[in-house]
Amino acid sequence: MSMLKTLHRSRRGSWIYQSPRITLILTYAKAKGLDLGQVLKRHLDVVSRLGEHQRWILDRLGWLGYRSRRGGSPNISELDYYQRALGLNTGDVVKAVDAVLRAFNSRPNDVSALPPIPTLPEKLVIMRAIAGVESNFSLLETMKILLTRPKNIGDPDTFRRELRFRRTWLYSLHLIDAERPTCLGYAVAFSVETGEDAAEAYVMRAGELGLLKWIITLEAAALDVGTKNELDNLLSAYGAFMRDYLKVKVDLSEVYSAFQYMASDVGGITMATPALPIEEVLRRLRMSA
Amino acid sequence: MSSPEIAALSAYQAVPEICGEVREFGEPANPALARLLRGSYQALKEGGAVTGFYGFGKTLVAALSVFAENALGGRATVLAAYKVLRAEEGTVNLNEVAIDIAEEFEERCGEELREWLGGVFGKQSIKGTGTVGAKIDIEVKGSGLNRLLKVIKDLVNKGFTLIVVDEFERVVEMPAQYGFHDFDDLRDRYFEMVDRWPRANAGLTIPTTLWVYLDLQTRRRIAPLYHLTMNITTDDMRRFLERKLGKIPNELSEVEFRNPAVVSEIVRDVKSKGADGVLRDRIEWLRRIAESYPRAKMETKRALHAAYLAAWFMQNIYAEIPEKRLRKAAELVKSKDPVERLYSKRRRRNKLLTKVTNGYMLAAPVITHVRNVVKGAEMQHALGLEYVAHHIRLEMEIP
Repeated sequence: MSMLKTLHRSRRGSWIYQSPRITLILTYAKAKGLDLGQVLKRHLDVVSRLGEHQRWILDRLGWLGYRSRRGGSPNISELDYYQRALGLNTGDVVKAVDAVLRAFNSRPNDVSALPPIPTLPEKLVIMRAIAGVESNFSLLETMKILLTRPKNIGDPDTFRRELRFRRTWLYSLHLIDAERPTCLGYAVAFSVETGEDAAEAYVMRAGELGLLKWIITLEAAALDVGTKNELDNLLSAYGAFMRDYLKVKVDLSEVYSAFQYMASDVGGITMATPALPIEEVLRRLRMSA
Repeated sequence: MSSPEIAALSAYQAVPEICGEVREFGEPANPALARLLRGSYQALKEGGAVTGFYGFGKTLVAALSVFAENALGGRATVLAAYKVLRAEEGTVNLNEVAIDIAEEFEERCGEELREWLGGVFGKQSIKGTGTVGAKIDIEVKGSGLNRLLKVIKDLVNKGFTLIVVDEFERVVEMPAQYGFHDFDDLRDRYFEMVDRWPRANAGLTIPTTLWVYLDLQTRRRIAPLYHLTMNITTDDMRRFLERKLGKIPNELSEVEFRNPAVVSEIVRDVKSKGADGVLRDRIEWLRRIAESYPRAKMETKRALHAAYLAAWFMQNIYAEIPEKRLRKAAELVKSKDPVERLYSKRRRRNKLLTKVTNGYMLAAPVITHVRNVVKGAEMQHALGLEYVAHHIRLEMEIP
């Protein structure tokens, strides 16, 4: 029988943890001693006004983790449980989020302004967490289930609930599309199966498949990167984080080819923006709706 | 190149052209325009902003959004930020501080435009006029961006359903002339203005030069944003070129155009000197740049010439250039294989190409070289490129 470990207990208000972004924001805010309720409220305000280049992931996931029909109001006190169950290392989350905030000259409070999609440093922290033996996520088991569609699944309601939770997380990492693993998903799962570090496997396989630049492009779009200066800052923040976290130097210069540029006459600023519409980028990641 | 005069001018210039196209094809030749207009209109209506590079049509979509809003029964106008800021205090006519491109459209092709817009916005037909019509007086009082906010609130009170504020660039370039101490002062006031923005029914076009100074929170306050540049594909531009010229000339078949203003310019050039003339010019300009590369053998310079041409094909100096395009460019400039010459194993250290997943990119020192040549007045003069440098900058997206 295909079983998934208990991760999502569906307690009242715990629907928010289906969103990796919200889970990460709360983890960060708690570590920094911020008011979790305030941070969450500000984030939900921000999200209600996003453009389509930032909102696509919520539209595609039916706003899972952001809206609930009968799940009650968000339950912040469940955070500790989800951190433990996912295997999230708080220190790593803080480092990852700080790396991104610093790239935009932002303060810890600005964490609520991060877009629904996790950034690369956060994705790596999630990867290492959910592939770890202490995590109830069971990355490989989940990928196998998505691939083989087993019939014998135990209690169908529990199974559906557990799978739905994992889907939003895997979708945010581009490892699955609406139904099945993506090319990146297959490649990363195989690497993890052979014992490679999940975070390193994520970056390496994405790079080899020519997808890393598109993954970063999606994030840059979601962060409203508008100048080359900001793109430089973002890439150097990503580079520094990876050197520290993965102990490898990843060449990100290829990312520049995914952008369009135009010199501006003021203050030597060069404007930069992704060269493709979001839909087109998602097609390259083989992420259908 | 991105000066405000030219920006506004390019939108005015586009009016007769678009009117001609709407008459000929029933829609503008640029197939992306309907999509851009829908996205922009929605963001502006929600009190958000539209951003885009020079030539991508910020002012144009602002004017078309306003035309559509008026024709759909609302009341709308595009305010020029700098005109509001420099106006005399007191009662002024709205026309004096607005950009009247919607009027231009109404005069030249109102009927045909309404028909097309009906399709864009999914309405059977829209009948109203695209302009506000009656003369409207507004009160201009106070100073700085407060004054702008007051004008917007005044217009909302007068029943306006869409107000777009455009042309901030001029203020950004010369803040002191518009009553700000300096750029930092303007930036601080801009933050405050965004905080007090009335949201619904009043949108902004944002000069990208202000962008770099906005932190995440401020950006989120301006949301939703719609980025024009991000929503145009090379396929759109290929179809645009095809429609304007009947068919894509062989000489331009390798080029991945990305900027509508560039396509329009190329079309004009092709009509005056032929596609071979257009390509010949670029080959010549890029030859001069390649030959100015310091401390390199002639054969290397020739290979660089091919690489530059290939980057021009991609319309981006940072492009991931497929090997096939590099070879095609090499054929045209009669160079040996650029990959062999610029990326060979023998060049252990100073490789002039970088290997990436699906091809090659120009290496950093090469990009810096092109950039210095095209941006420096002395080098431009020495190579006889002073009158064409802005074309090269725009067509190769040189930072």
